[in-house]
Amino acid sequence: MTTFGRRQFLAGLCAGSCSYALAPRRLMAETSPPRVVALEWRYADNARSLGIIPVGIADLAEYLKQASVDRKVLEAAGTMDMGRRQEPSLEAIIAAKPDLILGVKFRHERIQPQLSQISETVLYNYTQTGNGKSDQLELMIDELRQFGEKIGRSDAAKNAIGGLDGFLAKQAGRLASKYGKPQRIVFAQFPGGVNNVRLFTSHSLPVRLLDRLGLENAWEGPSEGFGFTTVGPERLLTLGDVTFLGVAVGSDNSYTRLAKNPLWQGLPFVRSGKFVALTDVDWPFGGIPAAQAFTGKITEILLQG
Amino acid sequence: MSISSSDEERFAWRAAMIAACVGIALGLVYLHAAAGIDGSISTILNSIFSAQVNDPAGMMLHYLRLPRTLAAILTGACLATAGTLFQAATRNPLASPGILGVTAGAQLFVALVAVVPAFALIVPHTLAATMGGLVAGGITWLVSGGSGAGPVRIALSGMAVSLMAGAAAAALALLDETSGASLNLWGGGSLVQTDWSASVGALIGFLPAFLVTLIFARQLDILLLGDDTARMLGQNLLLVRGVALGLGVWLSALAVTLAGPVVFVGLVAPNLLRLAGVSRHILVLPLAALVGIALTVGADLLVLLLSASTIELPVGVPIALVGAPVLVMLAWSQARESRATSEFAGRYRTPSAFPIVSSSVFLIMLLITAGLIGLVSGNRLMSPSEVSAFLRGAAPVDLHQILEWRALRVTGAALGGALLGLSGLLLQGVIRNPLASPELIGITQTSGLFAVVVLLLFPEFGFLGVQAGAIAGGLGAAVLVAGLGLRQYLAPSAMALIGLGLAAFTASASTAFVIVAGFQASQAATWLAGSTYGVSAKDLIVLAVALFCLIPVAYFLLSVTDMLGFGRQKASSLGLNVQVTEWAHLLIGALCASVVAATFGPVSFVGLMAPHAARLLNPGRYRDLLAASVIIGAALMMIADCLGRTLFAPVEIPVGLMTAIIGAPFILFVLRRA
Repeated sequence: MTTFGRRQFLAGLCAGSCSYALAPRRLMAETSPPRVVALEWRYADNARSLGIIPVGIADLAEYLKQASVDRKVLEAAGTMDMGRRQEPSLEAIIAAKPDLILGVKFRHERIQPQLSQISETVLYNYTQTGNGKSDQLELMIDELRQFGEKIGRSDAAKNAIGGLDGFLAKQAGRLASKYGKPQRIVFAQFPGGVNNVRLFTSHSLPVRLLDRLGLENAWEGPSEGFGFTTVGPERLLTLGDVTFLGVAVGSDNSYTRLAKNPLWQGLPFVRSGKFVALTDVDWPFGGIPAAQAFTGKITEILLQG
Repeated sequence: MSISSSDEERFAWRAAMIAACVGIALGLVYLHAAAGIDGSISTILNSIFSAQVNDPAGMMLHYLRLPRTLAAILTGACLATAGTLFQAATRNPLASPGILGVTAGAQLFVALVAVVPAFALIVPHTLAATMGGLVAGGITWLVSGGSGAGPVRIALSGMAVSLMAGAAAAALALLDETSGASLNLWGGGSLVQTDWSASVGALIGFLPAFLVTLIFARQLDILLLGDDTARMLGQNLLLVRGVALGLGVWLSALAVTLAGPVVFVGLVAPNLLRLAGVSRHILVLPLAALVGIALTVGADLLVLLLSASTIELPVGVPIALVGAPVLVMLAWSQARESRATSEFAGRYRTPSAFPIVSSSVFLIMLLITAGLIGLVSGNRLMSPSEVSAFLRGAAPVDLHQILEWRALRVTGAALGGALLGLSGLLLQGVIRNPLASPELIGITQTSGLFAVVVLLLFPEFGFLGVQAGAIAGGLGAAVLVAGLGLRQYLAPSAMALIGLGLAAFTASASTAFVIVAGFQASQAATWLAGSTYGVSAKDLIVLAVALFCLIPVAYFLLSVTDMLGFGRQKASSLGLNVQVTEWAHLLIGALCASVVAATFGPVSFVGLMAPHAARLLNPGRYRDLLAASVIIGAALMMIADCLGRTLFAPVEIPVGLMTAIIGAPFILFVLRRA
């Protein structure tokens, strides 16, 4: 009895001391997050979804202008600018002392060896899915889930994804209660300095998000690699009576140019007041925060309209 | 009798040609207006002045399609007329708006308006392209010495202005990715219109200018006889050339405003007519305008038809496809017929400012200083103590890593600059023109084009494939230029003209390629501008091996370069095998430049500046210039790279853009001197 008791006691002591020795370390892992450098904005979003403020973000000044970004939080955390997204400053990245670098293939594959020398590097496909029919929303969610597994925050990722699902379902419900049947929409960008328009395909991220709001995409064109088709204004005539969501940036773009044309006033969706002009503040290509800001904004507009 | 019958024949041939031009142009215009719309001729005609409100086809015709058709017509007419004028005024069949810097100037101003808000206050959007074109054209003209300048000089100056403006525009696009994206879209050319204002504005600008050119048609004919003959016939050369160049710049700026940089029409249209045997300008001008219209409208028709089913192609692409074979044909006929006068590199007669010893001390100091500055500056300024800790190997890890990469880039820049300096020296020696350099005779651009093509079409060959492609491209360009230009009876400057044509073509071809491939704008700009970003130790080894193998070869070659300067006959009577010598110079020069292009991408102006700076420092024989050119080239490149990394840190400007921007004042200075 006593020996057993002593053994039990010793085992207990051992286990206790071990757990005592290990516990703070596990706690440490949860409290001190990895230092993440995001070379494309979506991955800064993903890190934020998991409760991590990146130590470095490329094109930081522009990122801070996003509707989904709380400027003060990032400024308080001392996030640093890493230079352009295309050729980020390797020196700035080293100075940020990252544990993990997140980039995209089409921009950063060329410097992958250099980035890997600095720290562990993950490169994603982003929206460049070629002409394939891969769902860009699923891709974004997958990227977040994998990122969560990688840094041991799967639960946070699951929560964030669940949060997005819930958010989208709620907005979709609000829209459905107002409109009843699904609205037909087109999502477009008006690039600056030219007269063309980019219409987004059914598999692109913004349109997939709008689809989750219960809206139906009315544009069936081929993807040019990043999920949109570039068309001349003549093609707008073929769209019919849809709700047209267009992003126009700056003072000279194809929207400011087209809007002067009497034909524009004659377009069905302009005549029936179903044209919505957006700015790039509501950027639909990011992670979950951007997606929520974007869909929230669209819902508000459609509920008012 | 026989004379009158041949006259009749000629008359019939001309009438047939005019009828054919008019018929084809009108037919294409109709097809363009009606493409994809069920509209009869009468509907189209009715829709010109007003829209049929209840008819969707009529609405579309009036508000979108017909403005586009008019834009296509005017773009073709303006460019063809401008090309005719430039070619007559410079007596150079390869002169065109693209080569004279007008297009790049227009692009720069459009970029400035888009990116710099303050600039938009001075220059309105609608006038940006026109003003940019006029400014760049004006600079080209002033720099080349005004209307008295020879054709080669005007063309080379124009190319230099093009490169500078293009680099500045690309740098702006990189600094602002959002606007940069659309600058790139604009870069491929598009005739899509959103209302009548641009087309009608261009029409108002075109008609009086065209009338004036018709009035001057006879003077243009006389100009083609040569300056001396023209002067004897009582021509006011200054006036005629001034009017021709001024109107040419005006017309090409109009076209650029409408369509973006669509350059080949101006090159192709007048030359097609010349090949068909039309030479009098009173006929050439209207017919060229018709051919230009047919080309542009036809190309845009193709774009329209494609966009209905697949993608919206930049209109510059089909035009470039037609332009390429015509360019090659021209280069051939040019090589056969050119009587271009040779422009010997004016020797700098300044008394030697530095004796040999002090100049070599100066050069070594320059090299070391440039290297140290490059090492110290970057995203964060390093203190001398940190640098010395690094050099002793005692720096902390991350500091060590930063400085190691800086050292790689600085060394890479130095090696590349040295190779470019060497290349420029050899090329200036063989072409005997102070403006000869790898980027002005098309070697750099062709390397870049081949690299892009390999990257897009054969990605499986990886980086080695891209490098091999770039070197093959550079050497291919040299072989083409030399094969066409190195003839016994040709002035060496003919080679420069052929090279210029090649440079203009390959540069726009790679832009078109990059756009069609659907690159993101900043990605494309990065590929089209040379950069030391991400250079690896392996690259440095390639550069170093190339440099140290080629320097002895160049040293050997440069001993006879001065003889080439006496002219071919004298040189060969002195016992020199001129042909072999010239080929060797060209190929080694091209090899140097294309190794650099293979590693960094296109870097311009270093090859141009270094030999001139060497001459300023210590004028002498070519062989004496070798060390100075190489060292100055290295220093220039290190300084440009350092500025690019430091000025807007952490945003980096590629070294290829910095060298072009820094090169501007220097080239202006050299041109004024020469």
